[in-house]
Parts: sequence; C-alpha cells; structure tokens
Amino acid sequence: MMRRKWIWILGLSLALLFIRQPERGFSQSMTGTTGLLTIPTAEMLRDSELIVGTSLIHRKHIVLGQNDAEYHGMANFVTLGFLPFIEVSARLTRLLDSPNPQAIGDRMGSVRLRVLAEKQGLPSVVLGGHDIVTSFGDDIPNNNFNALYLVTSKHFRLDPAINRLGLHLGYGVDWIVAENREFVGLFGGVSISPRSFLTLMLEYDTEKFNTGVRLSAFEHLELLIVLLNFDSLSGGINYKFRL
Amino acid sequence: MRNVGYYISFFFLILPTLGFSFDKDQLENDLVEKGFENVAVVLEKRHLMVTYENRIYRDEIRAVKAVTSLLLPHVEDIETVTLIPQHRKIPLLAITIPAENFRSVSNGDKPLPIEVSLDVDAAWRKIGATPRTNSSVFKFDIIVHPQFIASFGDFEEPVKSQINLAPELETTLWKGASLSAQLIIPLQNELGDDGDELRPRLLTFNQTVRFPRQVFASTTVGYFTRNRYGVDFDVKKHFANGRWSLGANIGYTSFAEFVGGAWYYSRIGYLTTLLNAEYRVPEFDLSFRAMYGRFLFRDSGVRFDVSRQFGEVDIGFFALQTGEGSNVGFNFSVPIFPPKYLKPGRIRVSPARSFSWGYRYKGLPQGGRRYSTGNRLEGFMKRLQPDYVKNRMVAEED
Repeated sequence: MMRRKWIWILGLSLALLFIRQPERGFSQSMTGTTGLLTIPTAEMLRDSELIVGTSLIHRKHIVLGQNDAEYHGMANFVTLGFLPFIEVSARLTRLLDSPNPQAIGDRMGSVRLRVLAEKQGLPSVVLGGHDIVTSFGDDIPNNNFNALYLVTSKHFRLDPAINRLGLHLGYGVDWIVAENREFVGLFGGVSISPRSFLTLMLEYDTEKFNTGVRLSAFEHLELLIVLLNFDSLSGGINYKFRL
Repeated sequence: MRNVGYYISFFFLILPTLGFSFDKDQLENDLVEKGFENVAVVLEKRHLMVTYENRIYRDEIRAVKAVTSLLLPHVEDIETVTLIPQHRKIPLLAITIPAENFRSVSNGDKPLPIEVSLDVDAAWRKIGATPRTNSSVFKFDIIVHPQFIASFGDFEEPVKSQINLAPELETTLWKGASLSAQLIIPLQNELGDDGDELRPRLLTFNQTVRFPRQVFASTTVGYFTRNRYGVDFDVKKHFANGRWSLGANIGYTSFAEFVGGAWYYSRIGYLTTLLNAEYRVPEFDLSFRAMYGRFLFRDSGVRFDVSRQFGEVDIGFFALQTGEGSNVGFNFSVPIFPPKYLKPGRIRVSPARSFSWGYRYKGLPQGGRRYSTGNRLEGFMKRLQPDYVKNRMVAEED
C-alpha cells in the first residue's frame, strides 16, 4: 500500500516537474472547436496550428441517432488554424459498444471565421458553423451536431491569484435544416487561469451548466476533465503543434 | 544554413575583402560534387548566373540554400547572383539576389532582398546555351511511392483499406522528355480481388515544353491511372509572376486493364476537356482554383479548390457540382523522410518526396473524377512558385 502511494507521489511530482508554460494560444472544447468545455468561444487557434484529439462524452449528454442515454460517445477530431482568421475542424463521433450499426460514425465539419480580433477595450467576435455539410443535396438531413452562432470573448489580466480571466458570450440560431442542433439560444461561460498550465471553467450551454478543468503539459498536450450538468464525468485529451 | 541574409551578406561583404578569385570550373565541380545536375555557371561582368537541377534534396528551398552556400568561396566583386533551378533541363524560375539590396539589408533598411521571377527568358538566353555538366539524361530513378486507399461508410465493414507499394522507374530522355513505368505491389487489400494483383499503374512518355512568356505545355501518351490509356495534353499560362494562371487539359482515352497477366482494352474512347483558372494569395501561400468541363465517365461540371502550402505540407478543400451530384472533401500532402537522397547515378532508389491523400464526403465513383498521368503541369514547378519561394526564405530568415 505504501509502495503504491509513493509511486503516485513520484508520478505526480514528475508530471508537475514537466508541466510548462504553454505557448500563447487557445484550447479545444470536447467538441473539437476552440472553446471552453462544450461551448465554442471567440478564441481561435493560431495560424497553421493543428490539433488532434479525442473526447469521451457521458451517455446522458450525447444526442446521436437512436441513442437513449444508453451508450457513451467518443469524438475524434482534427482542427486546423487554416488562416489567421479561419479555423476548420473535422470530427468523427461514435457511440461506444452500441450494437446498432454506425458505419464509421457521424462525420462533422466545422468552419469558424473571426470577424473581429480582440483588442484593448474590444472583445473578439467569431462566426461559427458546425456540422454544416449535411446530407448535401439529399432530402433527409443527417447532421446531428449542427450549430450556427456568433460568439464574443474578452480576456482580462487580474491579480496574481487569478492571473487570467476570460468571459465568453454567444448566441446560436436554428437557421440550417438539421436532424439535431446544439447551442441554439444564449450560451456563455467564464474561464480562470490561475497558473499557466491550469484553467478552471464554468459554462452554460443553453440547456445546462457544466464545469471542468484543463491541464496543459509539455506545451503540446492538454487534458480536459469535465462534469456535465455537474453530475456526468466526461473528458478529453488533445495534442497540438504547428505545421 | 538558417540565415540566408547572413550567408548573402557574407559572400557579398566579407569574401571580397579576403581576395578570393572566381573559379568557374571549381564552382561547377563543387555543385556537381554535391550532386546537382545540369549545372552551368556564367559570369557576365559582375552578374553571376548559376543553373542547376536538384534531385538531391526533397525540398527545393533547401536546395536553393545549399547552392547559395556552395557559392560562398567562389565569388569576388559580384554584384548580382541569379539562380535558375531546372526540372528535366527546363528552367523554372529566376531567383535574383542583387548586392545593393543586401548591403541595405545588412544596415537593417529593407526586407530580405530576393527577387523571384517566373520570367527567365533574359537570363536563360545567356546561360541556356552554355554546356551543362553532370547531365540528368538516362539516369534511372526507382522512386518508391506508398499508397493507402480507404473506403468508408459501409455499415457492415465501416473501413475497408488497401495498402500498396508503387515503385516507379523514371528517366529523363532529353530536354523536357521523360519515360516512366510504375508498378503496384499489393501489401494489404480489402477492396476486392483486383487489388490483390501485381499490376501497372503508369506507363508513360511525356514531353514538356516551356514557351516564352511563361507558357508551359505537356503531352503524355501511354497508360494512366483509373484504367485509361491514350493521350493527354496540358497547357498553362502564368500571369502576374505566377499569381494568376489559366490552363486547359484535353485527353482522349479508352479503357484498359491488366488482369491475370493479360491486357484487356477497348478501342472506343472519349474526350475529357477541362479549363482551369487559379489565383494565389501571396501572403498565405493560398490558392483558389476553379475547374470547369468534362471529367471522366462523360461527367460534366465544375470544381472549386482552396489549398494552402504550410512549408512542405499542403492542405486543401474542394467542392464540386457535376451531373453525378455534388460533393465536398479535403486533401493533404506531407513530406516523406528523408530530406536528402543519394546522389543520382546510373540507377538510384529513393522514396517519393511526399505522401498525398484525399477524402470525399460522398463516394460518387463516377463524379468529377480525373485520371493521373503522373505528369500534370501543376506538379512540374516542384512547388517553386515565386511568392512561395520568397515567403519560405523570409520565414526561415526570421
């Protein structure tokens, strides 16, 4: 028992030792786009930055096909800062252990356009569309995570205890024909980074409140631990680098 | 060789004071010794012109830098250097480095003073007639291409794949002419029995010609991908130093397939005719491309591409609308290790420079498809677009 405890202490110490200040830039939500826990923000990847990641989403909070809160979901994504003001993302979402055939899973493409960069006194503004490539000419839409929104973000430097505070507010509409939608209505959240490797987050995603923490390590690796609706543990991991 | 400005300042400002004298033969020998082919050097007054063909470095920008560093010990009282990279003995562009600009840069006055122009006519008149050493003609390359083909979306088998090695035997016959034979060696296959067979991918003869005023034309005859054989003609005219281009592609091909050790083919062919226009946004190495016309399977329509070069990596997206339907997708190309190859000899084995892969949202097997001849003009420039060269040189300067 003692031995296991010391292994844990050693492991944590090593992890903390290697945790470094991440490069300036922003991080992915569980959905693959830059954001807090699930909601998108007006933060963007840096130009030519590429992120690959995966998220586990609790079964109670994934709407996909005929799933009735029976199976957890897994989202695998690649997101690219294609231009300094355009972020694109591709995501594949599957239900874990579902006996129903899913082919390779639900395919989703997203594009986000920054219309205003954050300046002193002005927030950044991003126009985003998720799962916008739908059945593409077919009669029946099959997009499960459609979203069309405008979101703003503003960051503040505060005293050393809080370090960096981010406020995010967005509004989504249901203008695109879709099977299921996300972020329709008002959504928003707050992020606090007391340390460069640690971000604490609280958000409202138009239906429920979520909270979580993001840990950054080695400048490239990020771990996201999330409590959806304060009761359903979910999370994600991603790796980022510049092309 | 991180800092081009450093080298250039070095050979324009410091070396002349050391009293080195220009030795044309020695410079040519150094370039040949390094592995560059079709080398020629001309010194006219204080303007040094160097032309070469690179098959040593995967990245042409790295080759430019290697040539620049080789020039250092050989120059004295030079005012301008022009480098002209070639492909199959055809000049691609002129990279001109005027000494005046470098002196200004060394004082911190101006941006990196490299001029890159698609217009090589004036310089080529002077250096093109000079005998070139270490010819690339009748040297054989076996280039090993990896292939990964995947089919998604089947409910029973969501992912079906095929992995092949596709070695290509290629040689240059004379200026602009090449002969190529590529074989597909199956390693793993879930895409039907045809994929289990050893089979040809390309058997082609190509003649590419560069005309004055930045016009390129390419004719390929032989067996192409997608089981087509016939003749294919490509022409492209560049404007505004490569920022705009207009092109056309016409092919007359028929079906042919190599199965069970025998060829099966049809004598009935049809035309594919495509017009294209391209615009490059220099700040981002971003290109927009529109293509309209008749694709394979007599499918007519339009295709739009947007792609960006991130160093040696390309990432692009496309949308197409044809008689078969609409589709979207993405494609990418990443470099393959190693960054430097063996010197070209009578015969050499090397990996392909890059691995390319594309994804279509819908399968549409007959929608907006093209065959590959392995000799499209898009690839002939070896990524050496003038703005891209400038951006890479400046980026790596920083």
